[in-house]
Amino acid sequence: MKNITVQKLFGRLGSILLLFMIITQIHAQVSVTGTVLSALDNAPLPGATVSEKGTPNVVVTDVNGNYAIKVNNPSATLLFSYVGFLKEEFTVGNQTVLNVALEQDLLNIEEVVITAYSEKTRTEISSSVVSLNAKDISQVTVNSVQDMLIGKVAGIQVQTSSGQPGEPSDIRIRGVGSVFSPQQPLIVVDGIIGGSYNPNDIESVSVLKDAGATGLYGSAAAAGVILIKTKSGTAGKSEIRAQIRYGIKTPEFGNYQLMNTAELYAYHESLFSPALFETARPDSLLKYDFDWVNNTYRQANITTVNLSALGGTDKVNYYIAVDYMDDEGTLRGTTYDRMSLRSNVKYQLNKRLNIGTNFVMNYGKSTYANWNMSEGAFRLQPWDQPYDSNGELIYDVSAAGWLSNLVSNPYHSEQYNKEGGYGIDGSANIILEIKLLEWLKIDSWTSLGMAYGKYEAIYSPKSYEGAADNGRISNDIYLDQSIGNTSLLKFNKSFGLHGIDGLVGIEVGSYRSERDIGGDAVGFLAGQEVMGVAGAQEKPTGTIVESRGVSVLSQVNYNYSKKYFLTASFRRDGNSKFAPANKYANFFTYAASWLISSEKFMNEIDVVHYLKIRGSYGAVGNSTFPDDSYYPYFPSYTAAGIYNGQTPYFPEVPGNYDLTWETSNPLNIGLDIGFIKRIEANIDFYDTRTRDLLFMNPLPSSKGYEYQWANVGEIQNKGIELAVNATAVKTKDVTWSLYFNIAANRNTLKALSDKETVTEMVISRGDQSQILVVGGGAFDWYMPKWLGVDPDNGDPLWEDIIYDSEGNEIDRVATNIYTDAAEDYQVMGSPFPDFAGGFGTFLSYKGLSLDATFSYSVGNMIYHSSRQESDNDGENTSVNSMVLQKGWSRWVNPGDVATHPEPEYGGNLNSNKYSSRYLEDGSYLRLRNLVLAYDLSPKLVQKIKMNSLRIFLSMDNLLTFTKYSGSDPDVPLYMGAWTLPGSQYFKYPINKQYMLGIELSF
Amino acid sequence: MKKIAKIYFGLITVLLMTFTLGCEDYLDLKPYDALTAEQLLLDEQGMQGLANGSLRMMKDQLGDEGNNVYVRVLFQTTEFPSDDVLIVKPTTDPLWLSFNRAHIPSQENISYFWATGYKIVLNANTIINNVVVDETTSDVEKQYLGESYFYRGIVFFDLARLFSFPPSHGLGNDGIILRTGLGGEDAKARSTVGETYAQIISDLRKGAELMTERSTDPSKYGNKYAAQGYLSRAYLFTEQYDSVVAVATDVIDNSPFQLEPNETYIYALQNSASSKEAMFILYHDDTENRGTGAIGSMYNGDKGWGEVFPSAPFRELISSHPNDVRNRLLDTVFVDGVPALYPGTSYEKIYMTKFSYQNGIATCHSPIFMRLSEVILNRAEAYAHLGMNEEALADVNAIRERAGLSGEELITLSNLASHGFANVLEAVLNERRLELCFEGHRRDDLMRNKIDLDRSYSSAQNENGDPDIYPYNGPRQIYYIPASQEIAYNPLCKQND
Repeated sequence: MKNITVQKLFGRLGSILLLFMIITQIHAQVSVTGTVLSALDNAPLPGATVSEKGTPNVVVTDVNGNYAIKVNNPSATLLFSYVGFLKEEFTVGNQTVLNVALEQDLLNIEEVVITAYSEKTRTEISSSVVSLNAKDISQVTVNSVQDMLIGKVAGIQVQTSSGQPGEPSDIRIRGVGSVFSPQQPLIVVDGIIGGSYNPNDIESVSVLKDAGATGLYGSAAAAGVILIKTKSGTAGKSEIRAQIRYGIKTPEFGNYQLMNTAELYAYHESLFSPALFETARPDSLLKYDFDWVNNTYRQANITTVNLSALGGTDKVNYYIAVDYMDDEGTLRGTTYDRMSLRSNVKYQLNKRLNIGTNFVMNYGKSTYANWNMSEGAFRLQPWDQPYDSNGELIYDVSAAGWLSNLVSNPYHSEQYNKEGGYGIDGSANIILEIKLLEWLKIDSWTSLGMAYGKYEAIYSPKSYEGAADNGRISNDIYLDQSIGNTSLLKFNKSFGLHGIDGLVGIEVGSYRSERDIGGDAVGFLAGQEVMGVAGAQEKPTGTIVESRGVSVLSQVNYNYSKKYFLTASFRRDGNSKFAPANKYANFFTYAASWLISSEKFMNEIDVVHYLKIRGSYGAVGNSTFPDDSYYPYFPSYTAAGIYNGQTPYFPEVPGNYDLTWETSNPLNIGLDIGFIKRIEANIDFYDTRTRDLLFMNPLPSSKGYEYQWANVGEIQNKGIELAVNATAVKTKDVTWSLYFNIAANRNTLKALSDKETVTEMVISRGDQSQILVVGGGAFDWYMPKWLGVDPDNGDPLWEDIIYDSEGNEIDRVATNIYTDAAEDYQVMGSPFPDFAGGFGTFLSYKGLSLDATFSYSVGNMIYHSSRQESDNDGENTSVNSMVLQKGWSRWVNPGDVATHPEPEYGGNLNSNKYSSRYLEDGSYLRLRNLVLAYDLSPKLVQKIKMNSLRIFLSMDNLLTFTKYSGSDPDVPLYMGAWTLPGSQYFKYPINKQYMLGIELSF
Repeated sequence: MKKIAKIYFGLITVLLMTFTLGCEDYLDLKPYDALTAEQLLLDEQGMQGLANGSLRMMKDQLGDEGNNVYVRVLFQTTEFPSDDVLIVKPTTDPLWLSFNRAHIPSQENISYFWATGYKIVLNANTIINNVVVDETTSDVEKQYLGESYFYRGIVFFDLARLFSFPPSHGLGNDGIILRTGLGGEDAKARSTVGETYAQIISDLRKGAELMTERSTDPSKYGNKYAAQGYLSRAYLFTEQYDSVVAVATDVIDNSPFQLEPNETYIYALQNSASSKEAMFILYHDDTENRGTGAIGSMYNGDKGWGEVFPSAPFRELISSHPNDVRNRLLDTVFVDGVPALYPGTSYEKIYMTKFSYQNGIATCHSPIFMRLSEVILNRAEAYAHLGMNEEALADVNAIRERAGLSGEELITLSNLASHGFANVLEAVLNERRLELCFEGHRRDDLMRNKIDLDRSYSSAQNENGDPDIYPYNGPRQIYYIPASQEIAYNPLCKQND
């Protein structure tokens, strides 16, 4: 049935085409000459294309921008185009000289962007894709593409989980669609899923947000896709580039400040009984005041060097780069060194065959600090000194009379202990492009990836931590390998006004990881650092995980007159993670768009030069489980540890043979509009339903299992995104552009179980809880409601809900009994923002430029759990306390209206237990990045035989405005094994970073 | 055009076919480190592995949750509410909540204990519900099956001690959830205390019947005598005193275990693997030294925290007989000849070493779950309840003599009053307090015999030693059922008051 329709359609098209060709042959030829210039400065544009519309007739302008073309008749239309400029069309008429001034494409409407398995111009795309070039995102000095995107793209949220250098950030596109799955966007580097890259090698990035854009990635695309294209050379010119950045960074503690000796002493005096205070806190303590925080976290240096060579001939092009980074952490003992090599080379063997190779190798080495250093800094009391009276580091803190609750002196241990790791990863890719016909080609790439690395911790016998074992060494090694092939048959053909293109292909991949290989060994002398010398080896570890996938994928794009676009994609995926009956699934997606600005009637409306409406819908999947679940369906008994030299077995997970993919159905409607050739706005509405969530279905723990993986529930993420880019001024000397983006996402739980009776579920991590309620937000904070402090007696107050015998609520009263309130947990807000986004501006005058990027978030609630320790009203007097924020006060006398209960030794009625007392508004505005740069004028640069020379000062995280009392309102939003989204414990703070850089090319 | 369409659809068909037919094996991956229960139960080695699994889950930290280990939580949450210990200052470790009795419904250590306990139950059920005893069953298989009944029984017992009042308070009270099958509905109600102890006794009996002992190191695994020892405790709890006497006598007379002599008393407690009287221990090899997370580390400041010390009343009691070898469990720390104080407090550092120094390693120990002296004292208490006072005191004195006491230091009916005891039961409870100190028995002994808890001495939760008498049936004698782990997903499970 379908076949017949297609034949008929093509049959008619053929006749129309033939008729068209006959008509054009009747007329005589006309010669046209002219010059193509830039409208901005009247400079000639060499290499611009001049084509006769609807024919293969094309010429290119010479060095002076001149061209000559013969057209078939005066009614022919000439199309002038040049990269970075807007296309222009003119009807020849009776002119023989046609000079054209092209306007710059300030909004990059004609730009070619990378999309799933292909490249397209923005006008052709029917889906929500945000494309950024290196110049848009490379100002910051970071380690991952995630960090480069902060503030730049509407609808994404990036959270830096720690200031540890080299630590990856967490990124979310359009909210959180799963509960337990660590749903991260798929990262695709030059076509390789999960490929490796160095941030400095990035040429462009595309963020694919809706089903129309991500559909070709099928079962892996539910969280969105980030495509990375690395740099390549262009024919004709060769260039060597160098960039060196050096800078300093300082830890950023935000509003979080701990007490000094005088403050802590006075605070303790208020809570100890007078008799106890005399023995427990003698005034001799006042002699000491050690600032643990600022001695543990301090200024650090960062250096990066990037050298690259790129260029090519008409047959070969290349990009070869080496990158080095020496990143010192602000926390004592933390460092990160990184080196990357990349070689991208492409050869044109003959007219039909291109072969390319991409090689990349990355080396990274990190050192870490022990937790008693990173967290100890916030816990240690200022009267406890690291040094004794002789200036020696104290070993036995108990003998030294430390009052803080730490058994060892982190500064003493630091001298002897080491913790760190290194990793090498690389991939080799061979790319094959075979042109079968003018309209048909094969693209195939094969990649071989590897990664290995080692983590080690050495506790020297000289340190407190290692003394009990006479030295302990822990090793952990991983060896990963991956192999993949993608082979696509691509076609692209026009029939008059009808254009059709697409692809069909297969993708096969396998991954194997031998991991956690290592163990512990004890008994060696200080200075010895390998397991072989130890007296006893213990706890050998190691496992293997594998996963495999097979897919067929296909896509058809149709356009009529480059005005109406239709796309349909289909992918069938097979995955080893599921039980035999559930290994395969199909994913269909559809998209359509209408380029309204190409319609005749729009020619009248000068103010709008670009207008496109687009929509997409489809199904995409997710099969990511937390790290160790490669066989989540398997009901497993496993062995671990040892008992009296024998192997113990025990039940691990219940398994589930019915488990299958989580499926998202994103609906997206978008509008792109360009005004006066200077302002573009992109508006997107989306409604994404995610069904069959990969859900750690909790079981009562008396079942012997805490949870079972199952497909449970449905989440809706509905939202609106607006992005505006504007070029306010563009003259020869001055450019001023601005951008702004905002996104509001509403996260709603639509279903929780196939049983209708189950409408809510509490997820707990430690003492913290969030609730999933059908009809409410997924992950709402769930806790006893804090009502403040009783002015009469300084007691803490929570809300106690009184029910009658039938369970109907009859009253709400204040109670000072925590357990009463703990029976009445309440929904107290969402960890997700009401809206968030970024904005920025770029201003340049001649060579001088200023570039600023801001990011913001409004309305997210953070549970500041470290306050349970450092703001505990006397429950724990062995830790330091935080300085009260502006507006906070402690109860002292009856009648006081205070935020904090009366401090009491041993605690005031559980006042520091989990409640909304520590739930805070996490809204913030941050100056993410500010760059001041100076480019030497081209004339000057040429004199010193260079192509360009640029010096710049780049500053990250310069300012943050927030009321949040913790060190950083930027809190991870994923469900961890031990943490809930939006919860913050002691954090290795992020940095302010000041980088001075020079960039040159010759 | 026909051709293109044909190529296109042809290709898709071919690809789909190759892929669905040819790739089944390619995608069929199995884990390298896991087996199904069926695979595991195919041979004796698998059964042995499962039996060891229960012990390992008691011994090791599962996952990465704080310092939580089954055995550590058990020893702390049973001992720290008692009148034998003090703590020098509050701590963020939830063990603090056992001192100040400010339990919360989702208490981290208690939740861990509950979950791990039931994981052991599930593990034991895997064997119990799959292995059928018939004439082909070997003795080795019977041993593993018996061990499974034994481990399930003692875990049910431990759970009952933490979450339910003892049977003497009423058999109709809420007991624990008795999960005895595999699978089953998620929601299940708590059984009564009567049903709970009936199940415990049934499991221990089956264990005693099926088990002999593993060939070497009998005390490191479940064995017949240990099961009988636990039975003597279970009968004591359920007030079946004749049964206590019968089973205890059987063990005392017929088992290979015997009291350690006075000279090796301390050494044998610290090195339980070589102890003659330890009937069931949770064996830790010397590398399994738990550092500051060791049970001993709260008591002993040598490589540990050293923040829990013997209470003033206990020190007074034990030091009243300087010849008592059990005094040597307490090491007072001296600095320059003067007892050292814990920094910032007025508490003398007195390190209790019962759970330390296995092979000289400060923070290593293999906790003893059942030893002959407890069986003897279980019988003594049963005799006392039966009014067989002479027999009761004979058992008490066997323990006292071993401790190095003699003459008037021994207790007779005639010197009972001069020792300060109103009756023989008091003498038995006094001896249990001394002999089984810090092992978590004291709280049970008082509750079982309906005696209020008197903690009117100085400890961080009661800084001035104000009167602090807590009724034997007060609600906070027992812990809340973990709210967020059990109650939330098991609507039939009733919470404790």
